[in-house]
Parts: sequence; C-alpha cells; structure tokens
Amino acid sequence: MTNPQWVGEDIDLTRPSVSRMYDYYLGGFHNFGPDREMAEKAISGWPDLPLIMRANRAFLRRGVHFLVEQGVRQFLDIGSGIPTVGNVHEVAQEQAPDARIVYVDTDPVAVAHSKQLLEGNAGAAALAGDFTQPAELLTEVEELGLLDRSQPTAVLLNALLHFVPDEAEPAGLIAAYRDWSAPGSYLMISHATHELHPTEQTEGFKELYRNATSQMRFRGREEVAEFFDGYELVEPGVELLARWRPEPDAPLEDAERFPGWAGVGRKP
Amino acid sequence: MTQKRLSADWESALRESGDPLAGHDFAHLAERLAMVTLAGLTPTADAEKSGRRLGRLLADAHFTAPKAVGQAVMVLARYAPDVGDVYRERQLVLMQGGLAAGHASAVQQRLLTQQEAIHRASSAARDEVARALSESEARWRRLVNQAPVGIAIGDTEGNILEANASLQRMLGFSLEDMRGMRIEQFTHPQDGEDVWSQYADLVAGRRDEYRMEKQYVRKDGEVAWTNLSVSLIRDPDGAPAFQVAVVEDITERHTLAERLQHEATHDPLTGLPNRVLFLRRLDRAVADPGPDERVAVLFIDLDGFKFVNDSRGHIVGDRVLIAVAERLAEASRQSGALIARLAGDEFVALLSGSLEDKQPMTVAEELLAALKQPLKVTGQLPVQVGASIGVVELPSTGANSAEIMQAADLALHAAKEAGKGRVVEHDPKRRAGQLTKFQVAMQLPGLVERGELALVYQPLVRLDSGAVHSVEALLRWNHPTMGSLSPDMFIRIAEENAAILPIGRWVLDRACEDMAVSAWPAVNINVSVRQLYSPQFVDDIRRALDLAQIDPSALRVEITESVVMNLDDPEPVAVLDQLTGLGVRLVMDDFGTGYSNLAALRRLPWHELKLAGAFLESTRAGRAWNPTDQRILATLVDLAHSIDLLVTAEGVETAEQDQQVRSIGCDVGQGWFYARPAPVSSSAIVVSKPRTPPQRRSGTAPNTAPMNTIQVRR
Repeated sequence: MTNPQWVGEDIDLTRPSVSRMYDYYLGGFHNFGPDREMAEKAISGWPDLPLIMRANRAFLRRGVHFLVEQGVRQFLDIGSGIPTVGNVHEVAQEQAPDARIVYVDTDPVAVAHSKQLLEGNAGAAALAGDFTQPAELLTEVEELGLLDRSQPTAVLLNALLHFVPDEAEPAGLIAAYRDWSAPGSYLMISHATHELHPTEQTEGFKELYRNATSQMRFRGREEVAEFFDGYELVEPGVELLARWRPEPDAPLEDAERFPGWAGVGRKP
Repeated sequence: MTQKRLSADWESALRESGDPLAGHDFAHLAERLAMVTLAGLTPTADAEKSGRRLGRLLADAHFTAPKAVGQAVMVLARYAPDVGDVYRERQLVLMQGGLAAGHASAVQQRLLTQQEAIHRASSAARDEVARALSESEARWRRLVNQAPVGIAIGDTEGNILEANASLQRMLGFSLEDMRGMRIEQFTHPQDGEDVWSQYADLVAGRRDEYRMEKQYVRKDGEVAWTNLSVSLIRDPDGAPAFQVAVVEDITERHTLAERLQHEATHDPLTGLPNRVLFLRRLDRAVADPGPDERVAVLFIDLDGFKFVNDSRGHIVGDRVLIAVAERLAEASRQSGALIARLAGDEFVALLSGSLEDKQPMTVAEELLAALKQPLKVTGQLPVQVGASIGVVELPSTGANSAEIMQAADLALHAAKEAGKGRVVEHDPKRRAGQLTKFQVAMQLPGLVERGELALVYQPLVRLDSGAVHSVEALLRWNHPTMGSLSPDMFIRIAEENAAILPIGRWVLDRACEDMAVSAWPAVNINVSVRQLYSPQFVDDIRRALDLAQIDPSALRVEITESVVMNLDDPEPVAVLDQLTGLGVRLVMDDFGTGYSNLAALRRLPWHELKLAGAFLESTRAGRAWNPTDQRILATLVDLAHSIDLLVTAEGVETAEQDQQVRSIGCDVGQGWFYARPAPVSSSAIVVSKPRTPPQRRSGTAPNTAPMNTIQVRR
C-alpha cells in the first residue's frame, strides 16, 4: 500500500535529517555525513547536547514506565526518529508484553529502518506520517489495525513539538489527537526551551537547524503547559526533563543543564 | 580491591556513558564485567583475550562512544594499584590493550552493520518512493490516457513529446505522427495573430498559461474546433521547461452554435445574409472607419416580382428569388460587395473601404446588367426580372446606419419613379420630398380618418368616337409635408397589412359619390385581392351603389390579371360572380404581362380587358412594335373581341402610340395623350379629340393637343 503522505517526497541524503542527527547524538551509526557534520556543529556550539538527549531519553523511559503502570497498553509515538538502541516498544513490551506501539515519522529512511527492525514483532509497526496532518495520519493508524481507538492510547510527542512552528497551530493539532483518543488516554510531551539558557545559544541552535529538514521553535513552560489543554497533568506537572519523576537515586543538581520541559497528561 | 568494589566501579562507569533507554540493567552488566576482569587477571589467563571480551561486551551493550573506552580503561587502571605484582601489572596492560582493540573492533563491526542497515533503509525508502511514484505515475498515465479531453506535453522548442488517446482521436494523428510534428504545424489559417503571440510568450516564460478557442486541421483534412488551454511547466530554477496543453473538442457545439448563428443571420431561402447581419456589417463599417474610408449601400428591388409571384405562384416566386440571389452573389464577387436579402424581393449590397476601384454606381450597373440576363429557374422556362437600384455613398466617418438606409430607400424610390430598371444615386436635396417605406408604413393607419386621401379621375376614351367611355378613379395621398403621392408609393405597402381595406372602402364610396354627381357614363375602381377575400366586400359595394343611387352597370371593378390568374380559391371567384350578379362590370387590368391563362377569361364573366401599359413602354422612344409583337397583340385583341370583350389600351402618351393601339384594333384608349387624371372638383376634365393622323410631336407633351371639355355638374 502506498502512502500518499509522502509519495514523491525527496529522499535527500545530502540534507541533514533530525532523526538521523538524534541517532548520532546517541552514539548510533545510522547516519550519514551531512547528519554527522551538522550534529557536530551543534555539539560544538552546545557541548551538553548529548547529555540533553540522554536526559530526554531517560524521561521517555520513565514516562513509558509510568504509563504502563497506569495500565496503558497502546502507544502512538509520533516523530519517533531512528530507533537507535532500545526503544519505546522494548521498554513497554518488557514490562507488558501485550503492549502495542505504532511509530510515526516523516523521514522515509527512519520509517524504512524502523520497519526492518520491527520485522517479526506483532505488537509494533512503523508508518510514514506527518504530525501536522492528523486526519490522514489517524486514518492510516486505524487502517493499520494495531491500535484500538476505543481503548486508552498514549500519544508520545517527544522532542517533536519544537519542530512544529506556530503557524501550524500545534495546539489545534494536539486537540485533533486528543479528540481521537478514548477517555483515559494520555499525552506525553518533551519540549526544548530557551528559558534556561542565554539567547545567543538557543538562537545559534535555531539558526543551525534552519537548513535541516525541520526548524526549531523553542517554547516556555507556560506554552508547553497550554498544550495539555483538555488533559489533566499528572504530578509533577510540566517540569524540567530531569525532574520529572526522577529515579530515587538520580542526582538532580545538574537538572538545569538539560533545558527541556516535560509533562504527561491524562484525558478524563 | 574486592570484586564488589570493582563491580561498583564498572557500574558507575557504565552509567556515565551509556544510553539510559537501552542499558537499564547496569548492575548486571557491571557484575559480568567485574568477573571477566578478575578471571583475566589470574596467572594462567590470557589477559589480552579477556580484555578483548570486555571491549566486545561494552560495545555490544551499546557503549560505543569513545568515552566508554576511556571509562573502561580507567576502571582497569584504578584496579591496578591493588595488584602489586609485576606479572599481574603486565597482565593488566595486556588487558587494557585487548579492551581497546576488542572495543574498537566490535564498534567497527557494529558501525559497519548499522551503516549497512541505514543504507538498506534508505534504499528501501527510495524503492518505496520509486514504487509509489511509478504506481502514481501509472495511475496518472491511465487517467491521462482515458481522460475525455485531449492532453499533450511539448517542450519549449515546440516538439510534441506526449499526447493522449483523446487528442489522437480528436486530431486523427497517432502518437508517432505527433511526436514527429512541431506545434507550429498545427497552425490553422483562421488563427488570429494572438494565437501565436500568446504561444511565443508562453514558451519564452513571459506568461504561464493561455486559453482560447482554436481550430485544428485533422489528419483527414476536417476541421476540429477546440477549447485550448496551455500551461507552462517551469524547472526548479523557474526556467520554462515544458508546456502542457489541455484540448477540449467543441466541434459539435461549435457547429451547432455556428449553424444557429448562421440561421439567425442568414435568409433561409436564399442563404444570403439577412437584415440582421447586413445591419451589423453596416454598423461595423461606420463604427470605427479609417480616414479615407467610404461606405456605400445599394438598395435593389426587383421590378415586377410581385407579378411573377402572383401569376406563377409562390413556389416559382421563391425559385426566382433563389436565382436572383445567386446571380447577385456571382455578380458582386469581383467587387467584394456583401449581398443581403432584406425582405421579399428587396436585396441590398454593401461596399466599404477606399472604394477607389469599385465605384458603387459601376457596381450597381453591373448588378443590374447581371439581372437582365434571363434567370434559369428549376422546372420553368427562363424568367426575366428587372430591378431598380438606389445607391447611396458617403464617407464612413460620421455616417449613421439608419440614415444611410433611409437615403438608399429614397434613392430606390426615385429609381422606381424614374421608370424602373434604373440605377439612381441618392441626392440629398431630393430627400425632403420623399418618403421612405418605413415612414409610409408608419403613417398608413388612420389615413382615411385624417382625410389625406383623394381621388383623381382619368377618362377612358372611345377611339372611334372620341367619347368618354368611362373614368378610372386613381388614388392620391395628399401628404401633409410630401404633397401628392401616387399609389405606387403606398398601395403595395398597404396591401401588406390590413390598411388596404379601409382605403379600398373609401375609394369605393367616394368614386360612387362622385359618379353620382358627374356626367360620366361609368367609373372604374381598382380592387385588390385582399378586398376580394374580405367577407364584407359585396355588401360594401351594394351599400355604396345604394347610397349613391347609381346604376350598378356604371361601376366597373378593375382586377389585375395576375391576381385573377391565381384565384384558385372558390371564395373570391364567388365574390366576382356575385358582383356581376349585381350588375357590376368586371374589367381585367394589365392584361398580357403574364402568361395569360386564356381559359380564365372564360371562367369569369369579364366585360372588358385592359392591355398592360408595358406593351407601350417599348414604343416610348418613338419606335414601332416589331411585326411579331404587333401580330401577337392583334391576335390577343381579336381573341378578346371574339368573346365580346371590349379592349382598352393603357398608357398611351403619344400620337404614335395612339396610332399603334388603333392599328391592333383596340376599342378604348387611356393615357396622357387623351387626358391627364384630374380631381372631380376641378371645373373640367379635359379629353383630347381623337385626330387622325396626329402630328409628330417630340417627347411627351400630350397636353399641348387640343382638348375637349367635359363639364361636371356639381
């Protein structure tokens, strides 16, 4: 079945891809020269980047754990990127083998790679889709038959929304996914912010991403909190990545080195 | 250092450099690493090999970053001080070396595997896109090919690259044919200049699309009408790359529209442009003329067509009109005049432009000459019709269509007045004295009530005795501004609508009244065919006779021969029977101009017969009849005499003509030679005394002859 959302989209390996850069930050080799070149530039401008990525991954891991504990068995991970090492399905399925995960990304290479990785896993699938086209995306998800719309589903928007500009009206898009979800569903967000760092740094970072397949829009805590409209934020609300339900023994003194907001909300 | 401490050290190193999402069980891995480390340091162990194993374990657990190796080497280094033994120190160094090599080799392997995976993924993605593209392309191709509209793609050089099935069908060319053709080859002679200038703009990138109606010549030579829409496709740099044409076949629609348009603007009988189209062309000619442009209208009216129509029926009449139309069209080809049929037997020619090498008067003469040749009419003997032409010519600038038409009408009228078969150019000075048909038609209603009608009487004179045989009532219209108008100018128009009936009734009443107060032996009135069809006609006659108290035999009803010949209906024949039953006498007017059906002479109770004035026209210039004509006329008169009909000769203007009509045996004469028409109120009606032989006089000055006087008692 062809996917109309990305038919004809260029697979341009000469342009850096956000998902392959992410893979590189995490020490993966699923990337190409242009991805690495730009990732290195980003790191030289902000040496903490790999740490931030790790903090994000750690939040993701804790969040998925939390969600499985709340009884969620369906995950829709949008902007999943290259499934480098371990992934949401591994985290979730280790805990609940009946967990079902659908990965969605716009990068056709990431999707193709995910499909290869997920071969033989009946509970997980990848498809190409665009977060900004909820109707089409959700139709595809439903056609896949892996997620049951009448059951609670966690929509994971990890490190995605800072690539969605205001013009795309992210709040409205989120509402579309919320309306699609059954009561008891969750929304999980992590989002880069400029609030903890000097402007030059975030601006430089934004500038850097201008040539990548996606560009950046940093947002403040309030703005991120507004994305949870229609959801009830679980404790501790919108918090710094590292401070969101940290492991009991985790060091928290460095939490502000990781400039991202995180939160999980429940649809009543 | 205990195993427990070593294990803890490994664990903290792992936490420092691992991916939190994957290596969640750091403690377990650290324990394994500690065990491998210790085992590798026993005296008999191969420390380097154990080091390699450590490196591989780390790499496999995704501790691939350079930092991970550093951390691991540090763990081993931190363990060293506790060893305190040269041999074991050497073991440790070997293990560190092994670890670095093992890690590097495992990372390398992993790197190769992942690179291969990502390349495979990217090529899978590419394949998927390519497949989707080719599917999509196949879908498009199917769609394009099955589309009911023609679609073609061409490059900007004008080469045709692709054309779908519809277009191939539409134009009759195969794809192979078209691929070998250039777009310019689809030029059609009717293409306006803008067709190709828009095309040039498009391929040059100056415009992105154009639409138009355009015709194409199909391979079989037929014309296809299309709605053409061409769009420019640019390359990513914005330079023109391709052009896509969408071609909708509108031939049928166009043919229909063309036919409707043609029907609306052409005369169905002759196929000539009709009044609508003619006026449109005339309007266009005067709308935006060049500085030296002139416009000319030639108003052509057939002479005696009504006679053809009446005498030989409408079918023949129509065929004559068709033949006239063909003749006019043919004769105007050289001058390029537009010939149109306005109505009935009225045709018109339009000339416009410089008019230097097509003088309107010359063109008019040519048309007239062409019409003089007998017309071949299907299933009939050749028919001869004449025509009169009124010509108006003036500069296009400042001209007005309505005024031009009015002027042409006036000129035509002048031509008719001047004696038919002529071309008369419009004289602006004459205009004030004349009426157009249109004006006449407008003024006809109420004519009787307004009291503008008058009768004049022209005597019919017995040729043997010179006595007045009768007088013919002739109608005049005393127009308030135009003066006295003869019936030629309005009776025909009146006959076309019901206006003739009140006029006819008025003539009847007035003639009878005048008869009653005069010394005339009888009065002749002209009756039109419409009156014969009027149900009240007989009653009208009876009433008029009663009112005037005159003897019915003193009323003579003149009916044109051509009308009578066409009286196939029983009603008018019955009317005529009733009239003779009353005692009214019937006179056949204009006898001999048509193909007189002699049988008709017997069918109705005629009393008299008037030879058509046309017989004398050929003698107007003073020539005698040729012997054949003379014999025929003499025979006709003989024939009339043989059935007891009195024969009158009309239009006698000269003494020569008087002689001639006598020589063929006419009984009665009428014309200027004997007397002019005069109103009854005038003190006298003069009649010339028949004199034999008359003196030769020049031209037409009959009133210089000695006159007799008829006294009118009033």
